[in-house]
Amino acid sequence: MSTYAPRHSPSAFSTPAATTLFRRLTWEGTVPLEIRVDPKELPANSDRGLECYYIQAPRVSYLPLLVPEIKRFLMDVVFDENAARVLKEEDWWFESDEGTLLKWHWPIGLIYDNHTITLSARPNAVPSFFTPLRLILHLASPPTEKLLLAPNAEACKQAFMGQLKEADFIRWGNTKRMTGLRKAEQDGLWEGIKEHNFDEYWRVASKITPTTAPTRSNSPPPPPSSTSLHTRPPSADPQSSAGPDKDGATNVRNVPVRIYLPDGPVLQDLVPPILEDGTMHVLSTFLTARLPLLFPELSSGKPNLGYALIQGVPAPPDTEMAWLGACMAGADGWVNVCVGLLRESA
Amino acid sequence: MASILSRSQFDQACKAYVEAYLNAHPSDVKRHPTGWLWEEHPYIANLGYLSRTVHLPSRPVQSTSREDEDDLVELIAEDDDATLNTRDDLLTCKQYVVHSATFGVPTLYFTLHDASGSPLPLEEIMKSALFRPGSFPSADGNTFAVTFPGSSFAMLSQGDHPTLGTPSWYFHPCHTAEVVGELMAEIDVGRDDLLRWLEAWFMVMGNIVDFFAGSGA
Repeated sequence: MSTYAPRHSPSAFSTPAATTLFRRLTWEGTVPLEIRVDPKELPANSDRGLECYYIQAPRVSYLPLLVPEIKRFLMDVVFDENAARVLKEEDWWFESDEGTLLKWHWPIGLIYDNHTITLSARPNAVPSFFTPLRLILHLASPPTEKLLLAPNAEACKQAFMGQLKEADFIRWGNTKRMTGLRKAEQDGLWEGIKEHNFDEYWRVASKITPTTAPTRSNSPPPPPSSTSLHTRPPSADPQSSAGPDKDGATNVRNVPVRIYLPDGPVLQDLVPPILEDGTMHVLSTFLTARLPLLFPELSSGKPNLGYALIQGVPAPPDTEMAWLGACMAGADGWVNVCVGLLRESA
Repeated sequence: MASILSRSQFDQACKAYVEAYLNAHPSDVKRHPTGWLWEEHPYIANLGYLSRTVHLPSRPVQSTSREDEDDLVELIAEDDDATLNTRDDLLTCKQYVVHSATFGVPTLYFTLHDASGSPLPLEEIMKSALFRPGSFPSADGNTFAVTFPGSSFAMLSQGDHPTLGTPSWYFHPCHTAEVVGELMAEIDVGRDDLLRWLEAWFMVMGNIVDFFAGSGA
């Protein structure tokens, strides 16, 4: 990591404590899963009654990466020796307990939040927090009419790398930052996820993820509670000899963002960090523009009919999109906004 | 003309294309793929796409290498001479032209199923009648994507259809825009000729995909 000015300006990639804090919080986020083997597929002589596996799974991880851990549990606790010998992980696949297909190539946190908002749209929706997402694990070959392929870690890795490159392209109009990484570094990103190692992942990710304005050594750092990037406009700073922070979150062309609706398709369009009138693009403006019925104009006085979850957190309306892109994106570079329906309290 | 299509330009181009080639002259048929319909999401705007279904003859699976291409060509010729395929031998190929929100260009998505409804594995897809022989680099044993060495993105991989959400194969669009852009520059068309842009796109994709294989639904 090189410094870009001869004086004591810190590395271009150093980030204020707040950014690192939120990145770590995002990284450490987990969701409860309850994984149950399809009873019809339990081999004979299995220890029934124990075939449920509970796990607090990292939001940034993927279902196929959980398979080794689940397999160890099943072999230790549920299966007898004969059954264990014929286990073929490559035939394993997951299904929601309502029988719907699971997007195994989605990050686990997204699967969970998507489930939360889908429930919010049901007629008898009851607000429930922190209930485990119940999954069924099948041990036999997946129904080929439902899935094109059984989930496997290699396919997952490729989907992950593809998403990172798309995010790179959206930010800068090219994928040079991603392709500029050595192969070992690119692999290091996935290894960081597999090992769930924050430092290993961010050692590489910090080269490609937009930063917030770096702390100037002779100015006070932004207060830890600050979520604004406008602590000091980089170009106006006489200390900076490199001009505007070229990797700054506000210098991206667009922020990689997707909206998920209950039972609905995924929406994606251009999300500039700064609007045409020069103001920061904030979450409420973003949502009102795309879902005006759920998120009416603030000036109209009408209440919101929906809420937005980002990494499981109902984000405040004045959150800056650029900040989200730098601090609360998923490990694949994308800010996933899950929109649920608000219910009147009973 | 910019080599990127906005969502609304894509919509216009597609609708113009459907209209232009709805009642194609027989002489046009082999130049511009026909049979496409414009579909939209039931309640969300800006998710429209082109769609069509074709039935392809299935091929016997064989372990060909690049050296066997001549044999493959012979085998194909024999296939054509065989009696018209019964429905049992037909593969169902659903094809979609979708707007890539990330790259701003049309992207080809497709599914390929055999007569019993099972999706074909990647190896068989690559050898199917959907593609011109020699389109792919030699298989590397991978079951979920085809990559050109040295290329940043996989050429062919799996993804969810952006509007339907169903699993599908798609061609990575990242180089398409450049090629079509160059083509358009040479053809010297009007800036706003979106229909021509899409025709050029079909031509570029047609180097790999045989849009005229099989019969329409």
